[in-house]
Amino acid sequence: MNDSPFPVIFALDALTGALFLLVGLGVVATRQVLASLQLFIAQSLLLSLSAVLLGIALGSLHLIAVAAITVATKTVMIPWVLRRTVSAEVYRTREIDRVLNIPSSLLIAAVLIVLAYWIANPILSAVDAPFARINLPLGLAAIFLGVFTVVVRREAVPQLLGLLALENGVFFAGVAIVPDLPVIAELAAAVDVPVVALVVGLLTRRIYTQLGTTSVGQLASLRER
Amino acid sequence: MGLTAVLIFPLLGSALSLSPLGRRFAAPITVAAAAVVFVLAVDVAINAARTGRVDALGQWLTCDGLGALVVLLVALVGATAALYSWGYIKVRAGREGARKEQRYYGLFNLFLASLLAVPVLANVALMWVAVELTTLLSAFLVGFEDTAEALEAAWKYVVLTTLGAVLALLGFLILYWGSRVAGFEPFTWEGLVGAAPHIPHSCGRRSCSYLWGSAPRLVSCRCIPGCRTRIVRPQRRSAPCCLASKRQRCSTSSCGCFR
Repeated sequence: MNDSPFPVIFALDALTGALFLLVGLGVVATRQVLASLQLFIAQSLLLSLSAVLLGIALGSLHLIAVAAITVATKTVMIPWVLRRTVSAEVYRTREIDRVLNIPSSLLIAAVLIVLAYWIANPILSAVDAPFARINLPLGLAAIFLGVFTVVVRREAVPQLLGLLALENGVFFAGVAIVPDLPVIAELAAAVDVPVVALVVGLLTRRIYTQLGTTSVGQLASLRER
Repeated sequence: MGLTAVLIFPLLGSALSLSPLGRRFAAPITVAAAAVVFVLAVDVAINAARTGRVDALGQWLTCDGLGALVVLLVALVGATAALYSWGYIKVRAGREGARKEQRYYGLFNLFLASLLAVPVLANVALMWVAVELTTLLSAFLVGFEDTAEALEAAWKYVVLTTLGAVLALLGFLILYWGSRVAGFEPFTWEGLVGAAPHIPHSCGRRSCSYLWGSAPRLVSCRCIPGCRTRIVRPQRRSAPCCLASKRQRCSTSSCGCFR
Protein backbone atom coordinates (compact mmCIF):
# COMPACT_ATOMS: atom_id res chain seq x y z
CA MET A 1 0.00 0.00 0.00
CA ASN A 2 2.93 2.34 0.57
CA ASP A 3 4.35 2.17 -2.94
CA SER A 4 2.62 5.40 -3.93
CA PRO A 5 4.69 8.54 -4.43
CA PHE A 6 2.13 10.56 -2.43
CA PRO A 7 1.72 8.72 0.89
CA VAL A 8 -0.31 11.41 2.66
CA ILE A 9 -2.71 12.05 -0.18
CA PHE A 10 -2.97 8.32 -0.76
CA ALA A 11 -4.01 7.80 2.85
CA LEU A 12 -6.46 10.70 2.74
CA ASP A 13 -7.99 9.30 -0.43
CA ALA A 14 -8.36 5.91 1.24
CA LEU A 15 -10.14 7.58 4.15
CA THR A 16 -12.42 9.45 1.73
CA GLY A 17 -13.13 6.20 -0.04
CA ALA A 18 -14.05 4.44 3.20
CA LEU A 19 -16.45 7.22 4.16
CA PHE A 20 -17.86 7.18 0.61
CA LEU A 21 -18.66 3.50 0.97
CA LEU A 22 -20.14 3.98 4.44
CA VAL A 23 -22.44 6.73 3.17
CA GLY A 24 -23.42 4.50 0.25
CA LEU A 25 -24.49 1.85 2.74
CA GLY A 26 -26.49 4.55 4.49
CA VAL A 27 -28.40 5.31 1.28
CA VAL A 28 -29.39 1.63 1.14
CA ALA A 29 -30.41 1.41 4.77
CA THR A 30 -32.07 4.64 5.91
CA ARG A 31 -35.76 4.74 6.73
CA GLN A 32 -36.54 8.34 5.79
CA VAL A 33 -36.44 10.05 2.41
CA LEU A 34 -34.87 13.25 3.73
CA ALA A 35 -32.05 11.36 5.46
CA SER A 36 -31.49 9.48 2.23
CA LEU A 37 -31.17 12.76 0.35
CA GLN A 38 -28.76 14.19 2.90
CA LEU A 39 -26.62 11.08 2.72
CA PHE A 40 -26.57 11.42 -1.05
CA ILE A 41 -25.35 15.01 -0.72
CA ALA A 42 -22.65 13.89 1.70
CA GLN A 43 -21.63 11.19 -0.78
CA SER A 44 -21.33 13.77 -3.56
CA LEU A 45 -19.17 15.96 -1.35
CA LEU A 46 -16.89 13.01 -0.62
CA LEU A 47 -16.70 12.33 -4.35
CA SER A 48 -15.56 15.87 -5.05
CA LEU A 49 -13.10 15.70 -2.14
CA SER A 50 -11.57 12.62 -3.71
CA ALA A 51 -11.41 14.43 -7.07
CA VAL A 52 -9.62 17.37 -5.44
CA LEU A 53 -7.13 15.07 -3.69
CA LEU A 54 -6.35 13.28 -6.94
CA GLY A 55 -6.18 16.60 -8.74
CA ILE A 56 -3.51 17.80 -6.33
CA ALA A 57 -1.56 14.56 -6.50
CA LEU A 58 -1.61 14.30 -10.29
CA GLY A 59 -1.39 18.04 -10.89
CA SER A 60 -4.52 17.90 -13.01
CA LEU A 61 -6.78 20.91 -13.35
CA HIS A 62 -9.41 18.69 -14.97
CA LEU A 63 -10.10 16.96 -11.69
CA ILE A 64 -10.51 20.23 -9.82
CA ALA A 65 -13.05 21.19 -12.49
CA VAL A 66 -14.79 17.85 -12.03
CA ALA A 67 -15.00 18.52 -8.29
CA ALA A 68 -16.48 21.97 -8.89
CA ILE A 69 -19.01 20.61 -11.37
CA THR A 70 -19.97 17.84 -8.94
CA VAL A 71 -20.54 20.24 -6.08
CA ALA A 72 -22.59 22.58 -8.27
CA THR A 73 -24.82 19.92 -9.80
CA LYS A 74 -25.19 17.33 -7.09
CA THR A 75 -25.28 19.32 -3.89
CA VAL A 76 -27.04 22.43 -5.19
CA MET A 77 -29.02 21.70 -8.33
CA ILE A 78 -30.38 18.25 -7.55
CA PRO A 79 -31.78 19.11 -4.10
CA TRP A 80 -33.26 22.25 -5.65
CA VAL A 81 -34.85 20.28 -8.50
CA LEU A 82 -36.27 17.73 -6.09
CA ARG A 83 -37.66 20.43 -3.83
CA ARG A 84 -39.35 22.09 -6.79
CA THR A 85 -40.87 18.92 -8.17
CA VAL A 86 -41.54 16.54 -5.30
CA SER A 87 -41.15 18.53 -2.09
CA ALA A 88 -44.02 16.77 -0.32
CA GLU A 89 -42.34 13.43 -0.92
CA VAL A 90 -38.96 14.59 0.35
CA TYR A 91 -40.14 16.30 3.51
CA ARG A 92 -42.87 13.98 4.69
CA THR A 93 -41.60 11.91 7.60
CA ARG A 94 -42.65 8.33 7.18
CA GLU A 95 -40.97 5.04 6.74
CA ILE A 96 -40.05 4.08 3.20
CA ASP A 97 -41.69 0.97 1.87
CA ARG A 98 -39.05 -1.61 1.03
CA VAL A 99 -38.81 -5.16 -0.19
CA LEU A 100 -36.24 -6.51 2.29
CA ASN A 101 -35.71 -5.53 5.90
CA ILE A 102 -32.64 -3.51 6.82
CA PRO A 103 -30.38 -6.24 8.29
CA SER A 104 -30.76 -8.53 5.30
CA SER A 105 -30.24 -5.60 2.90
CA LEU A 106 -26.99 -4.77 4.66
CA LEU A 107 -25.83 -8.37 4.55
CA ILE A 108 -26.42 -8.52 0.80
CA ALA A 109 -24.69 -5.15 0.46
CA ALA A 110 -21.62 -6.59 2.20
CA VAL A 111 -21.54 -9.47 -0.26
CA LEU A 112 -21.79 -6.97 -3.13
CA ILE A 113 -18.80 -5.02 -1.83
CA VAL A 114 -16.67 -8.17 -1.74
CA LEU A 115 -17.86 -8.94 -5.25
CA ALA A 116 -16.75 -5.47 -6.39
CA TYR A 117 -13.20 -6.08 -5.16
CA TRP A 118 -13.15 -9.45 -6.84
CA ILE A 119 -14.25 -7.97 -10.18
CA ALA A 120 -11.90 -4.99 -10.05
CA ASN A 121 -8.82 -7.09 -9.37
CA PRO A 122 -8.03 -8.30 -12.92
CA ILE A 123 -8.14 -4.77 -14.33
CA LEU A 124 -5.92 -3.43 -11.58
CA SER A 125 -3.32 -6.10 -12.17
CA ALA A 126 -3.26 -5.27 -15.89
CA VAL A 127 -2.77 -1.52 -15.62
CA ASP A 128 -0.56 0.56 -13.40
CA ALA A 129 -2.49 3.37 -11.74
CA PRO A 130 -1.89 3.91 -8.03
CA PHE A 131 -5.11 5.69 -7.14
CA ALA A 132 -7.28 3.29 -9.11
CA ARG A 133 -6.35 0.70 -6.50
CA ILE A 134 -8.56 2.59 -4.04
CA ASN A 135 -11.10 4.25 -6.28
CA LEU A 136 -11.99 1.56 -8.79
CA PRO A 137 -13.17 -1.16 -6.37
CA LEU A 138 -14.94 1.36 -4.14
CA GLY A 139 -16.60 2.99 -7.13
CA LEU A 140 -17.74 -0.41 -8.34
CA ALA A 141 -19.05 -1.19 -4.86
CA ALA A 142 -21.02 2.07 -4.87
CA ILE A 143 -22.40 1.13 -8.29
CA PHE A 144 -23.59 -2.24 -6.99
CA LEU A 145 -25.10 -0.60 -3.92
CA GLY A 146 -26.90 1.90 -6.16
CA VAL A 147 -28.41 -0.86 -8.29
CA PHE A 148 -29.33 -2.71 -5.13
CA THR A 149 -31.05 0.41 -3.77
CA VAL A 150 -33.13 0.73 -6.92
CA VAL A 151 -34.13 -2.92 -6.62
CA VAL A 152 -34.90 -2.93 -2.93
CA ARG A 153 -36.84 0.34 -2.62
CA ARG A 154 -40.45 0.47 -3.62
CA GLU A 155 -40.90 4.22 -3.88
CA ALA A 156 -40.09 6.77 -6.52
CA VAL A 157 -37.77 9.26 -4.82
CA PRO A 158 -35.63 6.67 -2.99
CA GLN A 159 -35.23 4.80 -6.28
CA LEU A 160 -34.09 8.01 -7.93
CA LEU A 161 -31.57 8.56 -5.14
CA GLY A 162 -30.30 5.04 -5.75
CA LEU A 163 -29.78 5.90 -9.41
CA LEU A 164 -27.91 9.07 -8.50
CA ALA A 165 -25.73 7.22 -5.99
CA LEU A 166 -24.95 4.78 -8.79
CA GLU A 167 -23.81 7.68 -10.93
CA ASN A 168 -21.62 8.89 -8.06
CA GLY A 169 -20.00 5.47 -8.00
CA VAL A 170 -19.18 5.68 -11.70
CA PHE A 171 -17.54 9.06 -11.24
CA PHE A 172 -15.69 7.92 -8.13
CA ALA A 173 -14.08 5.20 -10.22
CA GLY A 174 -13.80 7.58 -13.18
CA VAL A 175 -11.72 10.29 -11.50
CA ALA A 176 -9.00 7.75 -10.78
CA ILE A 177 -8.91 5.90 -14.08
CA VAL A 178 -9.45 8.76 -16.55
CA PRO A 179 -8.15 11.97 -14.94
CA ASP A 180 -7.95 13.62 -18.37
CA LEU A 181 -11.31 12.92 -19.98
CA PRO A 182 -12.14 15.77 -22.38
CA VAL A 183 -13.86 18.56 -20.48
CA ILE A 184 -16.74 18.61 -22.93
CA ALA A 185 -17.57 15.03 -22.00
CA GLU A 186 -17.39 15.85 -18.29
CA LEU A 187 -19.65 18.82 -18.78
CA ALA A 188 -22.16 16.88 -20.83
CA ALA A 189 -22.28 14.06 -18.31
CA ALA A 190 -22.63 16.57 -15.48
CA VAL A 191 -25.51 18.38 -17.17
CA ASP A 192 -27.13 15.05 -17.79
CA VAL A 193 -27.46 14.24 -14.09
CA PRO A 194 -29.77 17.11 -13.03
CA VAL A 195 -31.80 16.47 -16.17
CA VAL A 196 -32.31 12.88 -15.06
CA ALA A 197 -33.44 14.18 -11.67
CA LEU A 198 -35.78 16.68 -13.34
CA VAL A 199 -37.37 14.14 -15.67
CA VAL A 200 -37.82 11.56 -12.94
CA GLY A 201 -39.12 14.22 -10.53
CA LEU A 202 -41.71 15.49 -13.02
CA LEU A 203 -42.72 11.93 -13.81
CA THR A 204 -43.11 11.21 -10.10
CA ARG A 205 -45.32 14.23 -9.66
CA ARG A 206 -47.46 13.19 -12.58
CA ILE A 207 -47.75 9.67 -11.22
CA TYR A 208 -48.80 11.15 -7.88
CA THR A 209 -51.47 13.41 -9.33
CA GLN A 210 -52.87 10.68 -11.56
CA LEU A 211 -52.64 7.66 -9.29
CA GLY A 212 -52.46 9.13 -5.79
CA THR A 213 -49.36 7.17 -4.83
CA THR A 214 -45.63 7.19 -5.39
CA SER A 215 -45.17 3.53 -4.52
CA VAL A 216 -43.90 2.65 -7.95
CA GLY A 217 -43.17 -0.87 -6.73
CA GLN A 218 -46.90 -1.49 -6.74
CA LEU A 219 -47.32 -0.53 -10.37
CA ALA A 220 -47.44 -3.98 -11.85
CA SER A 221 -50.19 -4.09 -14.41
CA LEU A 222 -47.84 -4.36 -17.37
CA ARG A 223 -46.25 -7.74 -17.81
CA GLU A 224 -44.46 -9.61 -20.50
CA ARG A 225 -46.63 -11.97 -22.37
CA MET B 1 -22.88 19.53 -45.05
CA GLY B 2 -25.75 17.10 -45.46
CA LEU B 3 -24.77 15.41 -42.23
CA THR B 4 -25.07 18.62 -40.23
CA ALA B 5 -28.41 19.41 -41.83
CA VAL B 6 -29.74 15.99 -40.80
CA LEU B 7 -29.35 17.11 -37.19
CA ILE B 8 -30.42 20.72 -37.69
CA PHE B 9 -33.79 20.13 -39.32
CA PRO B 10 -35.38 18.20 -36.41
CA LEU B 11 -34.12 20.89 -34.01
CA LEU B 12 -35.66 23.53 -36.25
CA GLY B 13 -38.88 21.54 -36.38
CA SER B 14 -38.94 21.36 -32.60
CA ALA B 15 -38.39 25.09 -32.17
CA LEU B 16 -41.12 25.90 -34.69
CA SER B 17 -43.59 23.45 -33.13
CA LEU B 18 -43.10 25.04 -29.73
CA SER B 19 -43.33 28.58 -31.10
CA PRO B 20 -46.73 30.35 -31.45
CA LEU B 21 -46.77 29.21 -35.06
CA GLY B 22 -46.94 25.65 -33.80
CA ARG B 23 -50.31 26.17 -32.18
CA ARG B 24 -51.95 25.54 -35.53
CA PHE B 25 -49.24 24.06 -37.70
CA ALA B 26 -47.16 21.82 -35.42
CA ALA B 27 -48.17 18.66 -37.26
CA PRO B 28 -47.42 19.84 -40.82
CA ILE B 29 -44.16 21.41 -39.65
CA THR B 30 -43.08 18.12 -38.12
CA VAL B 31 -44.04 16.13 -41.20
CA ALA B 32 -42.15 18.57 -43.42
CA ALA B 33 -39.04 18.46 -41.20
CA ALA B 34 -39.09 14.67 -41.05
CA ALA B 35 -39.52 14.45 -44.83
CA VAL B 36 -36.56 16.78 -45.41
CA VAL B 37 -34.49 14.74 -42.97
CA PHE B 38 -35.35 11.58 -44.89
CA VAL B 39 -34.28 13.09 -48.20
CA LEU B 40 -31.03 14.32 -46.63
CA ALA B 41 -30.47 10.89 -45.08
CA VAL B 42 -30.77 9.29 -48.50
CA ASP B 43 -28.21 11.78 -49.77
CA VAL B 44 -25.85 10.98 -46.88
CA ALA B 45 -26.28 7.27 -47.50
CA ILE B 46 -25.47 7.64 -51.20
CA ASN B 47 -22.39 9.71 -50.38
CA ALA B 48 -21.24 7.26 -47.74
CA ALA B 49 -21.70 4.38 -50.14
CA ARG B 50 -19.70 6.18 -52.81
CA THR B 51 -16.83 7.52 -50.71
CA GLY B 52 -16.80 5.14 -47.75
CA ARG B 53 -17.11 7.86 -45.17
CA VAL B 54 -18.70 11.29 -44.77
CA ASP B 55 -17.30 13.86 -42.36
CA ALA B 56 -18.78 17.17 -41.29
CA LEU B 57 -18.09 19.99 -38.84
CA GLY B 58 -14.38 19.33 -38.87
CA GLN B 59 -14.47 15.66 -37.86
CA TRP B 60 -17.00 16.11 -35.05
CA LEU B 61 -19.58 14.28 -37.12
CA THR B 62 -18.71 11.22 -39.09
CA CYS B 63 -20.72 8.59 -40.84
CA ASP B 64 -19.53 5.37 -42.42
CA GLY B 65 -21.60 2.78 -44.25
CA LEU B 66 -23.08 1.18 -41.15
CA GLY B 67 -23.83 4.57 -39.61
CA ALA B 68 -25.52 5.64 -42.85
CA LEU B 69 -27.74 2.56 -42.75
CA VAL B 70 -28.85 3.42 -39.21
CA VAL B 71 -29.42 7.07 -40.13
CA LEU B 72 -31.52 5.99 -43.09
CA LEU B 73 -33.64 3.63 -41.00
CA VAL B 74 -34.19 6.17 -38.23
CA ALA B 75 -35.12 8.84 -40.78
CA LEU B 76 -37.59 6.49 -42.48
CA VAL B 77 -39.26 5.49 -39.21
CA GLY B 78 -39.26 9.12 -38.08
CA ALA B 79 -40.94 10.31 -41.28
CA THR B 80 -43.64 7.64 -41.20
CA ALA B 81 -44.26 8.17 -37.48
CA ALA B 82 -44.62 11.92 -38.05
CA LEU B 83 -47.13 11.28 -40.82
CA TYR B 84 -49.13 8.91 -38.65
CA SER B 85 -49.08 11.28 -35.68
CA TRP B 86 -50.80 13.98 -37.71
CA GLY B 87 -54.20 12.36 -37.55
CA TYR B 88 -53.68 10.30 -34.43
CA ILE B 89 -52.50 12.82 -31.85
CA LYS B 90 -55.43 15.13 -32.45
CA VAL B 91 -57.77 12.40 -31.21
CA ARG B 92 -55.51 11.38 -28.35
CA ALA B 93 -54.59 14.78 -26.95
CA GLY B 94 -57.89 15.03 -25.11
CA ARG B 95 -58.92 17.92 -22.90
CA GLU B 96 -55.79 20.01 -22.98
CA GLY B 97 -55.85 19.89 -26.76
CA ALA B 98 -53.58 22.23 -28.67
CA ARG B 99 -50.96 22.81 -25.98
CA LYS B 100 -50.47 19.15 -25.31
CA GLU B 101 -50.24 18.51 -29.01
CA GLN B 102 -47.58 21.19 -29.32
CA ARG B 103 -45.59 19.63 -26.50
CA TYR B 104 -45.84 16.26 -28.19
CA TYR B 105 -44.43 17.56 -31.46
CA GLY B 106 -41.69 19.52 -29.73
CA LEU B 107 -40.51 16.40 -27.91
CA PHE B 108 -40.99 14.21 -30.95
CA ASN B 109 -38.62 16.35 -33.02
CA LEU B 110 -36.00 16.55 -30.28
CA PHE B 111 -36.22 12.81 -29.82
CA LEU B 112 -35.67 12.31 -33.54
CA ALA B 113 -32.64 14.61 -33.40
CA SER B 114 -31.11 12.64 -30.53
CA LEU B 115 -31.74 9.33 -32.31
CA LEU B 116 -30.01 10.68 -35.41
CA ALA B 117 -27.12 12.03 -33.36
CA VAL B 118 -26.21 8.60 -31.97
CA PRO B 119 -24.84 7.09 -35.20
CA VAL B 120 -23.15 10.27 -36.50
CA LEU B 121 -21.28 11.68 -33.49
CA ALA B 122 -17.60 10.90 -33.83
CA ASN B 123 -16.65 11.27 -30.17
CA VAL B 124 -17.60 8.17 -28.20
CA ALA B 125 -18.27 10.07 -24.97
CA LEU B 126 -20.63 12.45 -26.74
CA MET B 127 -22.39 9.48 -28.29
CA TRP B 128 -23.08 8.23 -24.78
CA VAL B 129 -24.70 11.55 -23.97
CA ALA B 130 -26.85 11.27 -27.09
CA VAL B 131 -27.98 7.77 -26.11
CA GLU B 132 -28.90 9.08 -22.68
CA LEU B 133 -30.80 11.97 -24.24
CA THR B 134 -32.93 9.61 -26.30
CA THR B 135 -34.19 8.16 -23.03
CA LEU B 136 -34.88 11.43 -21.30
CA LEU B 137 -36.58 13.03 -24.28
CA SER B 138 -38.83 10.09 -24.96
CA ALA B 139 -39.87 9.51 -21.34
CA PHE B 140 -42.79 11.89 -21.66
CA LEU B 141 -43.71 10.50 -25.06
CA VAL B 142 -44.10 7.08 -23.46
CA GLY B 143 -46.25 8.53 -20.67
CA PHE B 144 -48.11 10.85 -23.00
CA GLU B 145 -51.60 9.54 -22.33
CA ASP B 146 -51.40 10.05 -18.55
CA THR B 147 -53.21 6.81 -17.83
CA ALA B 148 -52.02 4.46 -15.12
CA GLU B 149 -50.52 2.09 -17.64
CA ALA B 150 -48.78 4.77 -19.66
CA LEU B 151 -47.20 6.25 -16.53
CA GLU B 152 -46.13 2.85 -15.29
CA ALA B 153 -44.52 2.15 -18.65
CA ALA B 154 -42.78 5.52 -18.56
CA TRP B 155 -41.45 4.94 -15.05
CA LYS B 156 -40.09 1.48 -15.76
CA TYR B 157 -38.65 2.67 -19.03
CA VAL B 158 -36.79 5.60 -17.49
CA VAL B 159 -35.42 3.72 -14.50
CA LEU B 160 -34.26 0.68 -16.46
CA THR B 161 -32.69 2.63 -19.28
CA THR B 162 -30.95 5.13 -17.00
CA LEU B 163 -29.55 2.24 -15.01
CA GLY B 164 -28.21 0.70 -18.20
CA ALA B 165 -26.82 4.01 -19.39
CA VAL B 166 -24.87 4.63 -16.20
CA LEU B 167 -23.34 1.17 -16.37
CA ALA B 168 -22.46 1.85 -20.00
CA LEU B 169 -20.76 5.07 -18.89
CA LEU B 170 -18.44 3.04 -16.68
CA GLY B 171 -17.77 0.81 -19.66
CA PHE B 172 -16.82 3.83 -21.76
CA LEU B 173 -14.55 5.17 -19.03
CA ILE B 174 -12.72 1.86 -18.79
CA LEU B 175 -12.46 1.71 -22.58
CA TYR B 176 -11.03 5.23 -22.61
CA TRP B 177 -8.58 4.21 -19.93
CA GLY B 178 -7.55 1.23 -22.00
CA SER B 179 -7.09 3.28 -25.16
CA ARG B 180 -5.05 5.83 -23.23
CA VAL B 181 -2.82 3.12 -21.80
CA ALA B 182 -2.41 1.92 -25.38
CA GLY B 183 -1.31 5.43 -26.32
CA PHE B 184 -4.03 6.52 -28.73
CA GLU B 185 -5.40 9.87 -27.75
CA PRO B 186 -8.58 10.84 -29.65
CA PHE B 187 -11.52 8.99 -28.15
CA THR B 188 -13.31 8.45 -31.45
CA TRP B 189 -14.34 5.30 -33.27
CA GLU B 190 -11.36 5.78 -35.56
CA GLY B 191 -9.05 6.06 -32.58
CA LEU B 192 -10.53 2.95 -31.00
CA VAL B 193 -10.00 0.92 -34.15
CA GLY B 194 -6.35 1.96 -34.02
CA ALA B 195 -6.02 1.25 -30.32
CA ALA B 196 -7.92 -2.04 -30.26
CA PRO B 197 -4.94 -4.42 -30.62
CA HIS B 198 -3.07 -2.64 -27.81
CA ILE B 199 -5.77 -2.38 -25.16
CA PRO B 200 -5.01 -4.62 -22.18
CA HIS B 201 -7.21 -7.67 -22.44
CA SER B 202 -8.91 -7.38 -19.06
CA CYS B 203 -9.77 -3.72 -19.72
CA GLY B 204 -11.34 -4.51 -23.05
CA ARG B 205 -13.26 -7.44 -21.69
CA ARG B 206 -14.61 -5.59 -18.67
CA SER B 207 -15.66 -2.55 -20.63
CA CYS B 208 -17.39 -4.76 -23.17
CA SER B 209 -19.33 -6.58 -20.51
CA TYR B 210 -20.53 -3.26 -19.11
CA LEU B 211 -21.49 -2.06 -22.55
CA TRP B 212 -23.37 -5.25 -23.28
CA GLY B 213 -24.95 -5.03 -19.87
CA SER B 214 -26.80 -2.12 -21.33
CA ALA B 215 -27.69 -4.00 -24.51
CA PRO B 216 -31.31 -4.67 -23.56
CA ARG B 217 -31.98 -0.98 -23.51
CA LEU B 218 -30.54 -0.44 -26.94
CA VAL B 219 -32.99 -2.74 -28.60
CA SER B 220 -35.82 -2.26 -26.18
CA CYS B 221 -38.98 -1.83 -28.12
CA ARG B 222 -41.23 0.87 -26.96
CA CYS B 223 -44.65 2.10 -27.71
CA ILE B 224 -45.06 5.77 -28.13
CA PRO B 225 -48.76 6.27 -27.83
CA GLY B 226 -48.73 8.77 -30.66
CA CYS B 227 -47.62 6.45 -33.35
CA ARG B 228 -47.86 2.94 -31.98
CA THR B 229 -44.76 2.23 -33.95
CA ARG B 230 -42.08 -0.02 -32.71
CA ILE B 231 -39.15 2.30 -32.76
CA VAL B 232 -36.13 0.17 -32.29
CA ARG B 233 -33.13 1.98 -30.93
CA PRO B 234 -30.36 2.25 -33.47
CA GLN B 235 -27.89 -0.31 -32.40
CA ARG B 236 -24.65 1.00 -31.12
CA ARG B 237 -21.76 0.21 -33.38
CA SER B 238 -19.88 -2.37 -31.45
CA ALA B 239 -16.53 -1.44 -30.07
CA PRO B 240 -13.93 -3.13 -32.20
CA CYS B 241 -12.32 -5.20 -29.48
CA CYS B 242 -15.48 -7.03 -28.60
CA LEU B 243 -16.43 -8.17 -32.05
CA ALA B 244 -15.28 -11.69 -31.45
CA SER B 245 -15.46 -11.97 -27.72
CA LYS B 246 -19.01 -11.34 -26.64
CA ARG B 247 -22.24 -12.69 -27.87
CA GLN B 248 -24.96 -10.17 -28.08
CA ARG B 249 -27.39 -10.63 -25.32
CA CYS B 250 -30.64 -8.84 -25.62
CA SER B 251 -34.01 -9.54 -24.20
CA THR B 252 -36.75 -8.42 -26.47
CA SER B 253 -39.04 -6.47 -24.23
CA SER B 254 -37.10 -5.46 -21.18
CA CYS B 255 -39.17 -2.41 -20.46
CA GLY B 256 -42.43 -4.27 -20.62
CA CYS B 257 -44.26 -1.36 -22.09
CA PHE B 258 -46.18 -3.20 -24.72
CA ARG B 259 -49.84 -3.49 -24.20
